Amino acid sequence: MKSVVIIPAYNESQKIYHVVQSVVNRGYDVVVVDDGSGDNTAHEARRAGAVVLSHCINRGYGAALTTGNGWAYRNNYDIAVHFDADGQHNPDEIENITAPIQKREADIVIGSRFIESDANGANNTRMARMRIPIVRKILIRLATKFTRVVSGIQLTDAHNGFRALSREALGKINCMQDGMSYASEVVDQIAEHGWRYKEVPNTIVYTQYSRQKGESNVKKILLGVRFLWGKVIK
Amino acid sequence: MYIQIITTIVVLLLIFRIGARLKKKEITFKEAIFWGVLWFAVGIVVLYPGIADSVAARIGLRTATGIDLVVYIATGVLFYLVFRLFVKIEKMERDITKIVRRFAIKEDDKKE
Repeated sequence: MKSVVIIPAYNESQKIYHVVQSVVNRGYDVVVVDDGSGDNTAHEARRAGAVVLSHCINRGYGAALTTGNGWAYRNNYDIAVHFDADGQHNPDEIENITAPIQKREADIVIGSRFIESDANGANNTRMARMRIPIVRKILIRLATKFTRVVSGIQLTDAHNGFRALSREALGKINCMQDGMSYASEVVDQIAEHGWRYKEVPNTIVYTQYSRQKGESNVKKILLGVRFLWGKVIK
Repeated sequence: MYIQIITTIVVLLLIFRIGARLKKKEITFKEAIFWGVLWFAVGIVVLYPGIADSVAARIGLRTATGIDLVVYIATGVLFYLVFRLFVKIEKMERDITKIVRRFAIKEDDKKE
């Protein structure tokens, strides 16, 4: 099965080269959606071996991923993986996230920081090892509960940007949210289309850089409102 | 008294402007009717405040006066208009994204 890794990027010239290179070195095709960056993100991504699609103005995380999804579908990829540009995700885990689709066990696979990666008990979950900031941890839990109520999908980690979509899902996905609330909308799409879904453990590396690039906790809370509003307009 | 004269002049000006914009086809007939009726009602209430009082009494607002009723209606209308604006902005945002996306894909096709 032909896989492509979609990386949405906005002003990531510092990190994008290494992130793309780490994925390309593992034998995956990479498409970077440069979301109206004002720096050298597109150039650096191309230099590292990615195909670059450029948004002429900044439209947001969800908009960039939707552009990437459409491109992947048109270019006949069987699996599309969503991967962060700031180095938070581990390229070695791409294999794990695509595996359920390759085995035809799922249409969509979502990474989770909360499920145990090994059998050594609760204290050895990835979550425990990752040292996620406490406020962020609470917000992730709340977002997960919120998604469970709104979409009725039982996930352990609703706002994880590491996911894989099968070709069938790529053809049907119809996300309208341009911003970060895209993550909630994807879960909503699982319910809408009745896709088979699976969660796999993944690691998120919280660095000073990724924390600076990430959204504030207040903005994260407002995402729920944004998502519901988008649902009303749809 | 002055307030009545000033408001009447403003209302007449606004109604003329609605007519002018309709003539230039900057607004639809439906929109012109909506705004025309709204400003006409404002003019009537300003010239004959007693009408608002009797309407308020008739619909059962015992403690409120006519001017309170006007404020209630104005608030309701404002809420509705803000909602419509939000919806319109959201749709425009989505359209902008579609254009940006199409442009990005076209640029990529050109390279190939």
